[in-house]
Amino acid sequence: MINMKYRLLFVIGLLILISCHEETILSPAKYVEWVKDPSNGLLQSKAINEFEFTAQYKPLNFIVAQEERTNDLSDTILSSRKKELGIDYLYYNFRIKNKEGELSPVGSGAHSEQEYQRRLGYFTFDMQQDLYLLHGQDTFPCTMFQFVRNYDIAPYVEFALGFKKQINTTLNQDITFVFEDRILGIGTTKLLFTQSIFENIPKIKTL
Amino acid sequence: MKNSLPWIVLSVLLGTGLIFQLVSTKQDLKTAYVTNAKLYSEFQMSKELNTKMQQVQLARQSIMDSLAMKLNQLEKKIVVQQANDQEVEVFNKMRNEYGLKQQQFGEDNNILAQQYQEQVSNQLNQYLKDFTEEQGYDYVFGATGDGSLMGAKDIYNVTDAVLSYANQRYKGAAK
Repeated sequence: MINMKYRLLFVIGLLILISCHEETILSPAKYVEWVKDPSNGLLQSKAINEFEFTAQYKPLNFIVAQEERTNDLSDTILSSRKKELGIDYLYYNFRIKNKEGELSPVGSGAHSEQEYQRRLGYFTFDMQQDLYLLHGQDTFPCTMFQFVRNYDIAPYVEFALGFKKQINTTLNQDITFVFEDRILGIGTTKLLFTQSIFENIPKIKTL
Repeated sequence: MKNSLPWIVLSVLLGTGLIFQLVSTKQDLKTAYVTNAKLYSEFQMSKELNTKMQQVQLARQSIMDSLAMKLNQLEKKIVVQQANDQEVEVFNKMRNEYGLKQQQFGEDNNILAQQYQEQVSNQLNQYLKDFTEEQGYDYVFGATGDGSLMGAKDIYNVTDAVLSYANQRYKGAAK
């Protein structure tokens, strides 16, 4: 009889625990902060020699929150903009930073005008084909590529990227961001985004 | 007695300083070594680049083989004097092309191998540096087999640990 009582209490306790567990919902401003916080795993970086490679995963909610710049984000705007952006795309920002100087990676280590132009051409056009995402056995190619030029006033180069995933592919495995460098002497650089990171992304608060 | 007091104090201070210095310098350095050959050959990036290199070399070799086959056919015709002037001209052109391509591919293969080697070194050096820092080593020596490290106990061999660390980092795992 006592045993039965304990079992009942355990089940009730478990039910209370489950009902208390709520998904985190953040205001757009807090959501943006959360995504940018490296400890949450959506920003991965790796330093090799003088270069630091950083990839920032940008959920669609993050992109819309950044565009709208308001905490009163309506559900209609969010949904329609997300539809425009396309649910079949994974968006990333990729940055290559020169840690050991003021020159951007375009100029750092480029000993001639010819080498400078070669790097600039690579970053502007050719680099796109050296970027892709690995998701299990699938490869998502980089189909949107934009070199954000800063005319060497900052010690980094930045790229806005979009990777097309197969229709109906659910993200149920780790994602590896791959950059097969052909110009900086570093070679293949990989940044790992584990599956758990994507599972823990909070929801965004809308009106 | 009063005159000797400062000397006694000074002696005690000096003695304490000397003991402290001895104790602090006696601290053991944390050292280890890695077998360079194993580290380089079993590093995932090396394996991937070796495969790539082989593919490139095979592709180039197949181009050369195809050219060589055509050259052989023409040569046979010329030897038995069945070739016309046009074919002789083609043969000469092709022979030059073969020589040039052979030289060009050889040089390109060397450049590519050098580039890959540099890429592997750059990444491996960084991972080794991070490993040393994270594990609190003062020195990690490299046994190259050329006599730079003549002998060490096996317990100081951290090649497998470094390999595992480097391969994880190469796969993209965070530091």
